[in-house]
Amino acid sequence: MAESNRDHTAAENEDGTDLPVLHAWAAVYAFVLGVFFVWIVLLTVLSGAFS
Amino acid sequence: MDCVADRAFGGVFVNALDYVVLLGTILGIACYGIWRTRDQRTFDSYLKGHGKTRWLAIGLSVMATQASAVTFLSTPGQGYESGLGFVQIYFGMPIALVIIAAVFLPIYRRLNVYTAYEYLGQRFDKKTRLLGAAVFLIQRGLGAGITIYAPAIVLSTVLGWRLDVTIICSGLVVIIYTSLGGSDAVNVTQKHQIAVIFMGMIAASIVLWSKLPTELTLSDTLALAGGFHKLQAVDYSLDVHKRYTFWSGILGGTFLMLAYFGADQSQVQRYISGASLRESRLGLMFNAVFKIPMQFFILMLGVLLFVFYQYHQRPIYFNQAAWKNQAQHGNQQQLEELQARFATAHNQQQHNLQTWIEARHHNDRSTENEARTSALTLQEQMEAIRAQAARTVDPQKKTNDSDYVFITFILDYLPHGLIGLLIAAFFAAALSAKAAELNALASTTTVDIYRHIIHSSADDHRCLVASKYFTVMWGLVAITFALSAALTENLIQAVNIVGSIFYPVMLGLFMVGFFLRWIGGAAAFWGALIAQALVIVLYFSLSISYLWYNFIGCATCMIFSVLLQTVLSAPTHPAGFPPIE
Repeated sequence: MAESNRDHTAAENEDGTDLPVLHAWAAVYAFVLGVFFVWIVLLTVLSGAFS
Repeated sequence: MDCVADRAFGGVFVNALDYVVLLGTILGIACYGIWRTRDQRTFDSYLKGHGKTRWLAIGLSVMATQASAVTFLSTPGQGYESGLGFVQIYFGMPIALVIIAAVFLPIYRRLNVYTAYEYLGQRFDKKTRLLGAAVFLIQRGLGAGITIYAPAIVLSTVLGWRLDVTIICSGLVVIIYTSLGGSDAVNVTQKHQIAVIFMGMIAASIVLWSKLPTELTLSDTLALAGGFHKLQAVDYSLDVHKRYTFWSGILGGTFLMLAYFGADQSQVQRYISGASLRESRLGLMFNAVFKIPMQFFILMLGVLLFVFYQYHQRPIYFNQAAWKNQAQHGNQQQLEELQARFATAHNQQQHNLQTWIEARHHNDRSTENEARTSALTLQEQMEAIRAQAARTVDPQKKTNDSDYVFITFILDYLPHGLIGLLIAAFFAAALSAKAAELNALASTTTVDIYRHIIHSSADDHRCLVASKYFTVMWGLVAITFALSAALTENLIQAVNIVGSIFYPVMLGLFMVGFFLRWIGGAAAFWGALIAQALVIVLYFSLSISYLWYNFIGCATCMIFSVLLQTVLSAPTHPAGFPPIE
């Protein structure tokens, strides 16, 4: 069942992101976690500034 | 203001224009979903879609599946009551989604599984697969009614609709398009439903902002909210009894989100349907980036509602239908007295707020602090009156009054047409989450139970038909549960308990499978059962935040699996899963 799909998924390129600047998945993950870190800083500043 | 008061205290909330917008939106999206997926012919495409789903559709679908109507109805109320602290539960989400995108997803796609539990079967054995599928079916199956029931109880109460009709109508709509179109119908409709939700929430925010007093600047608004302790978004306390802290969010939240996104079929089915690994990964990363801002925005809406209601007359009890019902049954004098005390305190508060803001504008710190202290004291007194009112109206605490804060604002202050759009947004959220649940329940029942155990020789066509029947079956189960209101009150508690104590151990099974490849099926299965027993004992003997059980359950499952594998037998390496070098 669905052998063509299976072959396709097995053969798919796992390395390319096709994104500008962030060419490797490791860079994408680092970017995402960086955005998360910025949010933590912003929320901490917000908590402190108006407490 | 008089007009608003009339509407809040029993006038006609929804007019013809609202109904046109509501029905046009909900039925229009459902019909579009049916039309777009009318050529659904194979079992593979019914469960996984046509294989062309792009990252944005996957990202929105994942977001819509997680965000039920309760998210949009209740979360602003949570922001109103407790401020921004709830956002910390989502701190684990970016970390969890990165792990899932990097580790879980490539394996699911390489094995070309329909359900996450198929992986357990291929990695371990039949009984471990059944254990995973059973936990999912019990948890989601029991909870099937709540996704419809929770918003229906609020909307039917404030709109004066019959609860049973609301539940049955919304349930039937979702059953029809999900059973006909399968996974693709869920994806297609979710994309439009989330657009309606965003439009509604943005419109409500604009109206709310425009109705704040003109003399209040953004800085004043934040100062007021912060002064009432509503902007405490991050709490670095190490107290394990506090429900939401930075640490429980990071550690417990990561495992909670790993379990939900990595091992719950309702989410796995959304992202494995991507056109490629890249599309699926980017869909997950979309959520990793935008989920925290989205929740922050919804909670902030509640905080702004709090500031708004400092200046506008607010009901002492937001569930006005329950209030009036109680007043008609003998407690009228007591409730009127509470209402009068509350109104007097509210009027006194205006003086404190005016002094506070004026002092702030003149940079007079001493007067500002004095006015703020007075405002906080009065606010505590008002909360005490509200609590007394809640005990009188709802002594058994069957409902949470904060759930009615946002809908009350919508009905009282939004223009007609927008009211219809917001109600459509709540229903859209309920339907999108329900559709994903039904789709996942049907897939798991077909793949892991029907084709795996009951009818192993069933061909694709038979499985396709079975999937449609199972979708209808689970939809009817959901409606039946939702209609059993008395049962559902206890059921909500039961489902939350099941989710908190069973999912972490199920995640532990997946973590053992992915990261401890030398451990075999017997050790993982019995390790999971022992860990589960331990978590149940701890759950009923400790009083720590439920978020911590996500870490404890997963960790103990992994530890017991390692111990059992060491004691019981030599390591095993199932075909296709070589040991890590």
